[in-house]
Amino acid sequence: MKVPDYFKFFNKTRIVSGSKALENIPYELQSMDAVKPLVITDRATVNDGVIKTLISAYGDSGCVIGGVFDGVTTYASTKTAIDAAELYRARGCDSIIAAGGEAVASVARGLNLLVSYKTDDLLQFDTLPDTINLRPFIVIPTSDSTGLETSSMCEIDGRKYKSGELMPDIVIIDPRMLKKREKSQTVITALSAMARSIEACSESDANPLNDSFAFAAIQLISENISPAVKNIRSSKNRLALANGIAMSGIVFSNAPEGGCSELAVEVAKATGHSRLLCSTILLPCMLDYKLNNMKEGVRGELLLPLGGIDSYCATPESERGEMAVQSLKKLYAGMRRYIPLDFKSLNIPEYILDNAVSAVEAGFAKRYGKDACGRILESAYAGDLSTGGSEK
Amino acid sequence: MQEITGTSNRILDVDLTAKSFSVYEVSGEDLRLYLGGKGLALKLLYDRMKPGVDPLGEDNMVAFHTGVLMGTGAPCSGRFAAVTKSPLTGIMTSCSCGGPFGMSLKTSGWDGLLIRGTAKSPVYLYIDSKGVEFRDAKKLWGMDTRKVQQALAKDPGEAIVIGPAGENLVRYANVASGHRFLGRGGMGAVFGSKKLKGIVAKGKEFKIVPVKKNKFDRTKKKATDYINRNDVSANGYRNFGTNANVNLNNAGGILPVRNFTGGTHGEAHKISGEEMAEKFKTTYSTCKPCTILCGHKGNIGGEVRQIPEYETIGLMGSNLEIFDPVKISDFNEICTLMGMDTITAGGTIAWAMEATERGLIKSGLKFGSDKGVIEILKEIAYMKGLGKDLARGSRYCSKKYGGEDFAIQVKGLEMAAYDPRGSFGQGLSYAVANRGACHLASTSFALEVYQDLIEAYSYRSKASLVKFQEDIMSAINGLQTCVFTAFPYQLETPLMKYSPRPVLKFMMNLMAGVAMRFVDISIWPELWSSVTGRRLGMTSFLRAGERAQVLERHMNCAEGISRKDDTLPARLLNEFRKCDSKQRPIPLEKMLNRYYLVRGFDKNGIPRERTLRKLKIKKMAV
Amino acid sequence: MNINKYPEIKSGGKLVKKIYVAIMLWIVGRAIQAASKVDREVKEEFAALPDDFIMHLHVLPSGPGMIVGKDKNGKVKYMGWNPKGKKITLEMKVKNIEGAILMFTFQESTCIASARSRLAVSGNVPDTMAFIRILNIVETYLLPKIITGLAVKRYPKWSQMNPFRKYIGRVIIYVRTFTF
Repeated sequence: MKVPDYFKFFNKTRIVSGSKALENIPYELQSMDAVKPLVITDRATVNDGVIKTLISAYGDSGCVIGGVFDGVTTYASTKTAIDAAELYRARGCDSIIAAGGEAVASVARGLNLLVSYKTDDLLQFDTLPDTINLRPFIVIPTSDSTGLETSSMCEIDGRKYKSGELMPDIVIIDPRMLKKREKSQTVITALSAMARSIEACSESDANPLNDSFAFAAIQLISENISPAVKNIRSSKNRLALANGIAMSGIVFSNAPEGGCSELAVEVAKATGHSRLLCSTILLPCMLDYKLNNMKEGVRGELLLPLGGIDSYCATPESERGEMAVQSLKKLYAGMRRYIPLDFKSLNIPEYILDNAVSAVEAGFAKRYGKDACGRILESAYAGDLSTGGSEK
Repeated sequence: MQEITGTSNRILDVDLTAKSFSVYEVSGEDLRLYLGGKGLALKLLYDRMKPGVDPLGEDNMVAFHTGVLMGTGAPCSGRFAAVTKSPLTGIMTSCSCGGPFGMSLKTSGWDGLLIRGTAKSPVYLYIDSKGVEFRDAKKLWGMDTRKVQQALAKDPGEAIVIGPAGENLVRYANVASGHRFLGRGGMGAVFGSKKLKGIVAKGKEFKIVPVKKNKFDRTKKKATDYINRNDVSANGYRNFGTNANVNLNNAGGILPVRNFTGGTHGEAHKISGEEMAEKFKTTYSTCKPCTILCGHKGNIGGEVRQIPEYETIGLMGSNLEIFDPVKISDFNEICTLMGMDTITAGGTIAWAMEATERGLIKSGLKFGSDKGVIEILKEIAYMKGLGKDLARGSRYCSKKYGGEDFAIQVKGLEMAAYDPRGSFGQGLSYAVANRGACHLASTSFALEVYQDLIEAYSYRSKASLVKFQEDIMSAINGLQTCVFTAFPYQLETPLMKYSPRPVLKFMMNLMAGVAMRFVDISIWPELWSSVTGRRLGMTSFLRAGERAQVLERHMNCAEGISRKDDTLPARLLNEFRKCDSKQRPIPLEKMLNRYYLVRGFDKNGIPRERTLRKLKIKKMAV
Repeated sequence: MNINKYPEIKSGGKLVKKIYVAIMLWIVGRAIQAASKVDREVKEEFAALPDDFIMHLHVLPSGPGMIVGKDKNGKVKYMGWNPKGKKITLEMKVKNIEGAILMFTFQESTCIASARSRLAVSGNVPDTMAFIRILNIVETYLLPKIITGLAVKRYPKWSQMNPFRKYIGRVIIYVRTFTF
């Protein structure tokens, strides 16, 4: 096991996962001296009926829920956080529960900053110190969760806020909150979380603590994604996926942004497609490129969570990196019917990808070599994973 | 004066880089398939321009087409079409414009114009029957649109020109033709990037004579009768201009108020066409020839000015919570002189006001106050200060500063002044319109709110309705006549006029696809075929419109447009107007699925191969 | 913003579940008292516990509970549900009524429930383990094998509890539980 000369790892989140996990909330809040939470969610989650389940989990707790604020939309805005803060203060709440996806968790974090610092100006938090005192914050992932909910960052009105203290105190993963979604959405959220985890442990400054979370996340996702989409009644598999996705949030909070994520953000900006889909498509191309063109290749340890213990033991050490990439490609091939796996089928013109390249080319060239960016995008455009991008 | 019988089919192909020109003759096949106007202009670019071109680069082209009706005296035929790749949206934009230029171009012997390349220094083009002269425009560069039109008036003919906004590449700069504009999408910036200050066409060298003159005269008379009988064209628009829409929209809850947070306002009457007609003693000021006479001028603030159109009144008035028509006229004047689209300018300033309120940007702009608006318009025109960012539209600004949820735009084009939350069909129309949130692709609000023929808050029939209207509008823009003729030419036909209203409502709401087939749209193809001498029935006429519509979509898909772009701003999908107590969300996904089905697109909104084959749209040449 | 759109929500009670758990706790409490007189193993476990041993098993926050402990004469007694005036030496709190339902409908055994952190214990660890062993024995007496198998970690073998002992003990404990 490689231990870097210096590293930092921080995780303050407790995860409570399983049947009747929601019912633990009043007790957990009381242990943090909180009795009156404000629930932040969105209409889609309310329409799923899961908020009713959350409220009934409060049954007989003797506690009062300050309100269920469902005004969050798919875009996290400062105004929504300010409106939520107004409600929070009016009801005298002392804690926050976020039930939903990225936008909900981001607004909840914004709300937490506003009420903890008794202000209505979110813009003053451009840089957050490492130690900030925030109100107790619980996140309940739903089927819309992508991993950002359990991480140390949030995005509100296009601005990113990052601090370890923004991580939730507790994450409650209850199968009753994980309703069925479109298969394509399930696949995209799971694979993008896996992509982030793989990236985090593929970079040169990976550390053993983060690796352990990452490998667990990768294994949970790779083992459960197929049964979760094929079997619509598979709440067990959905629960395992949700755990993997939640862990991936902790993983990428403790790793710098990798090349795949960086490139995905630029492609998403240039094309209007979601960052999650772009990172899903780019990951195998990125790994393929590293395998074929970079001295350090791909970490052989990735074969363990991706291919399983039998495959790991049966493969010689020098070939494990390649087998890991093959296992990933096999997993992707199984998902082909649910999501597009190349940019061409998304109707993205090549010239738009060229625009995305220019934004990150210099950084990529330094880290991954000359023309790396262009070749990875070429491979992602055609969906041609066998050559790691054609030689120019 | 020489005569052109029918149409010349001649396109002047101008290369600004080489300072040369050639003549292209439109084939009979293309004329039959695309009719002219917008459709043919699109086809010209489709055959010559490849995807990925920089809208402000040398490879972008502008295609103009006057349509076959120009110069014949057909009612409301004084409009021409122009198409280019928009610097605001990055996809195709097509505009229809009145004013005198179209007539001059046509009567100089040219049906259309193709501009390519970039001049080395500012030029303007002088066109007559012999061809084009490249004249130096250095002295004109920097002049506002009025001054430059006055300066060019010394040359015989009529001009289209850009103002300082176009020269400075404001992404929504327009091109002025008299008091009308090639308004949306930034055509003025394309001119500016080509260092093209303007184009003058001499005109009056040819007389246009229909091939079947008797048939033409008969149809023209019928058309004029319809226009004079119809309440919208003969009363509403003729007496009060497009601002006749203000009171209607206010009553229907679709007036944009405070950046589309509300749909009605108690002070809306102050900016209505009725009150302005009385207050400013308005008289006609229209395109020629026009039978509807919607354009007006009046005595505003001590000078004679064009009355701002409804879109300006809406987006720079109620949308900013300003209800003083004199102030709105002041804003309109600046936009006119600078050469800027008032819809995008109004939508972007509304975004800026709300962003200031939320602390996302710093500016002196405030809802309900005109303070700072004229200054910001000038900053935008000259790309200074905050204006440098605002000149790129609200999509760009919201991505840079945040506030994407209240940037009211689709595909980068700011929304027109009809709130789709009170007219679901209009919501679908905005989402799927080819150039962005355009109200002229399909005017569903007219049938839903004004005529009350279709249930506004239902998703049923909307896909068929929007498709039909889009095809009709595209076809009309192919002729070309003014789209306002849609009211009289459809509503005054016997079937529409004399059918019992409950029967009409039933058919339109529950069997729209069938009902549309019975609508009599014969006047337009009769006008076209009497001018050209070629046969054109209602089905072929509508098919030509469909062809132009799908061709434009096909060109946009090559630029990356797909389902993810056919959407509405977050505010309109998630928030509700104060006047809507029932809080009815727009069922966009349902309508979109159905729309793609009736259009022959796949589930990602990409035209299927068989749809392109059916419409005889060949593979891209480049 | 209109905050009245988002009203406060007071949590309702789960009366039926509380009544069920209350009844089960009463039965178990009385059964422990009866078993302490009837079963040799239970007697030995209690003998090893301190003289002031009083155990309070209850459901948070204000749910039903039971108190079992040794009185001043050293006899094991079921002492009701109200902890007022009693010196509790071992407190086992079930974090919520749903956790109690899982335990007392035998969907989770006591061991599984503690492994899943449904219980919070304040007190001595050896005393806690002793009490759990006592509870397992009492459940073996009270319930048929098919249900006890779910409730306890390991069902006692023939050699540990022969059928004669089990069935006679069961009858006596049931009689003592519901009578005196």
